[in-house]
Amino acid sequence: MASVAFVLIAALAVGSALGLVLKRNAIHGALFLVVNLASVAALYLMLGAEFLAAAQVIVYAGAIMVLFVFAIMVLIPGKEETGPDPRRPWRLVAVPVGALLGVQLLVVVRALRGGAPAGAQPVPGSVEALARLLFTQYLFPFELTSVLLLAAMVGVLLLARRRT
Amino acid sequence: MPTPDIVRALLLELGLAALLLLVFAANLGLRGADRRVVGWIATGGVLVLGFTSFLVAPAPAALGGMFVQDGLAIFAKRLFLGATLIGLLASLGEPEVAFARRAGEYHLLLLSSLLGMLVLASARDVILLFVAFELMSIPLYVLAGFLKRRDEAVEAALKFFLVGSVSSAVMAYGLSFVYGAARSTDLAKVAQAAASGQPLVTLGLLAAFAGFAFKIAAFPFHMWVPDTYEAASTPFVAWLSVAPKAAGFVALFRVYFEGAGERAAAWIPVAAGLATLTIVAGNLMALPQQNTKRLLAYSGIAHIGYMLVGFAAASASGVAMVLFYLVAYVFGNMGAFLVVEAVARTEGSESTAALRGLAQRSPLLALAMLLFLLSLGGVPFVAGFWAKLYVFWAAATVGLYWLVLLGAVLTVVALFYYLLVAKRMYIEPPERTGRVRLSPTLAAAVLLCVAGVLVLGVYPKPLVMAALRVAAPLF
Repeated sequence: MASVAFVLIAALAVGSALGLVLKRNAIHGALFLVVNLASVAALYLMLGAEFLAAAQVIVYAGAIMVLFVFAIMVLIPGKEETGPDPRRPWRLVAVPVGALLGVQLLVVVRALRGGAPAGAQPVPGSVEALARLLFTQYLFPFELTSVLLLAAMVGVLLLARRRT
Repeated sequence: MPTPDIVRALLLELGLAALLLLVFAANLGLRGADRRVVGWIATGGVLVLGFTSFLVAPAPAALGGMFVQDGLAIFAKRLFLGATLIGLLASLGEPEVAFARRAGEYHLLLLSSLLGMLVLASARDVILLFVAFELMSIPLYVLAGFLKRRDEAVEAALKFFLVGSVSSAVMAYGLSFVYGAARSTDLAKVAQAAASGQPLVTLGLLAAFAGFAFKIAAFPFHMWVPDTYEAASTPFVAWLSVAPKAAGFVALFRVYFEGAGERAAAWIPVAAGLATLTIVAGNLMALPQQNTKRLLAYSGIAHIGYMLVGFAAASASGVAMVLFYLVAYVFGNMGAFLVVEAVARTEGSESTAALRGLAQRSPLLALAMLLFLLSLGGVPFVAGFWAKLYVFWAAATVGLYWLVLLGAVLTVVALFYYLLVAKRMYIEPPERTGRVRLSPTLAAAVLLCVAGVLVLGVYPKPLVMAALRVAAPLF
């Protein structure tokens, strides 16, 4: 059951990633990216990393994608973006880079074939475990972030407000 | 842990947080030009905190070991508070309307950045270090674009923001490797892991070093400096050119030296290489500058290089001499920027030509500028001379003679462009007559800098001793 779900989600992730790269229309590409990010979030959920999955959806599929779509719509692609790519020869660089990444992937897969490395324990990724750390050991940095957010908010208001 | 201990350990930080809230509340109750009062509240508050910092004694690590109030932290906090006091004093009389209307925002952002620095000086935990670093940096990006009506200010702020974000990302990425290999966010455990020679820890620390180098504006990572310095308001730039740099160095000492012992020597090649590049590039690029703020920006990069020479010594005396250098640099560099500000308020220009004949128009101001320039250039009996001498001495004791020689040669180049500015003040005839008018607060800030440069130049011993004392426990 789990493996069927995994294959489905993985296929969705790979398919949407391909769609992102192959689509010429920037908005379509952005929407494919949303699907890709969401399916990766589903994979995180299957691994028991609930918090990471939620953060992936909220931060990446939510906030960052909205920003992307805004940027694409505001800067409507002109001829330069849709016409033939002036840097076409540079695409050859993709071959060695891709080969390098492929080799890395092979090495990692081979290393993991015999199961998880010794000494590795499943890390509790639940919201509860995270909250416990956040409100005990890391309480001070957490509180400090509130000052950081206040400063960022004041800064945004200062820069974005039209007239005082 | 009983509560009073935490309060005592966090006294300065809590006080500053209270001051932040006070500024926030005062700003709500005031309208229009009355908002300048906020500046006085902030300045008074920082002055009180500065006095308080002399009551703070070293204490054992608090908050589960992540917050440490040792000699180094207290030394650094006094430096930050002193620099902030000078910067706030200088900006009090700022004629720009934006400063009156948005005084609340300006001071709130500046003080929250200061809070980031205070925590950073005490952070002995990777997460706290990173949060403090961001708390220090993010308000700086906004403040760089504070004069948002000027296109250059917006451009400079954007550049600063992009470069700063990338550097934070690189640093966070490096620190994630460190955490992954050391399995702890505690810097003491990280130091142990680094000492056992784990390659991933070294790799992570190297990536984090690039992030730090961005923040202190060492050579290949300096691109944002000249534009930001030129476009942002000068009292802020004076502060930006010293306080965050000092905070960056303190963080470097904590991450790379504290608890590293013998292994600290591993960073000598990295630091020495970076120091070489930074000194050469900073000094050479300063030569053709016609805008005084840009000149000080490039010469500031060179000064970071000289401090990296002390860092490259990777010894207690090296750290102490960098601390001394930082104090001397606070007075010399801030002072020079503030004189530029004073002249610009009268002349409306920040080019070196605006300084022409300053000695005939305002002899005292010209004398102050001469002192600052001599201090930055490293001429005997002003603070900067001892600073350079001491970092060179620290580097020579570990055998980095080539670096000392290079630094000494380029000091001559630096002296050349500093004296070009002096020549404009003393030899060239003035274009206009009439004194350069200083607001009383700006004059007070300049006087503080003059006093610092002279006292440290004539009698550097107590500060050197204090620096040596606080640096010794790191190794």
